Amino acid sequence: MTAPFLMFLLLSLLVVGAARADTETCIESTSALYQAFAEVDADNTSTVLFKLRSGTYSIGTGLALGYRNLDGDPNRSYGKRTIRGGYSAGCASQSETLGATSLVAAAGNPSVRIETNNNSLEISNISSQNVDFVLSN
Amino acid sequence: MTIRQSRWENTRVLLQSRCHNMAIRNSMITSRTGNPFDHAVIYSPFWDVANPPQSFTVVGSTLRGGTLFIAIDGGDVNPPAASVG
Repeated sequence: MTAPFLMFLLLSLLVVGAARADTETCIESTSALYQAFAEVDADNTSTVLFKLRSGTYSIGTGLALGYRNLDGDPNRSYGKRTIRGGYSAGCASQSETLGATSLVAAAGNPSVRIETNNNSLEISNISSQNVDFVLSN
Repeated sequence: MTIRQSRWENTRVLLQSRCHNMAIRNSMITSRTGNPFDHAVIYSPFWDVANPPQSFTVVGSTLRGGTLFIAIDGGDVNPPAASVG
């Protein structure tokens, strides 16, 4: 009775530990934003959170992130991808204030393209001007 | 896929997935300026008989300056009627 219970407890802890194995990236500049999109790791199947500090990010060329054709592998299962703005310096805290984090293009409407696989996507607390969005899978 | 608590101005948003539930929540999306016939949001999932598109939801949000355009592409059957509420 005790051994099966301990085994169950051990497995439960492993599952909880895996669920918390999220990747979080604090992004505080335009260059860091482009770098984060460029460095998507196809082997990282955990949930991924991009935290964007409040401020303006200048979008010159398009941003692209792909879990199927660009960087990823269509045969793998990936965790949820979240891109969230409104963070303070160092991403210590987050505010729901609208417009705190803004993606701004001078002209031409460059695109933010995100292609998921079977993973879900959430974009929140992000403002933008002159930027198009293509969300697909 | 969810867009939440966001404000996108002078934009065009293309949502193209039949595998995911799509949602726009508590957001404001304003279409590109200069073209009165432009779309603010285009929802265009591919229709597959075996795997039909999932849900598309707009809640507590505003689309300005352009239309919401829904286009179901592909397949050889007509999709069921949509409900708008």
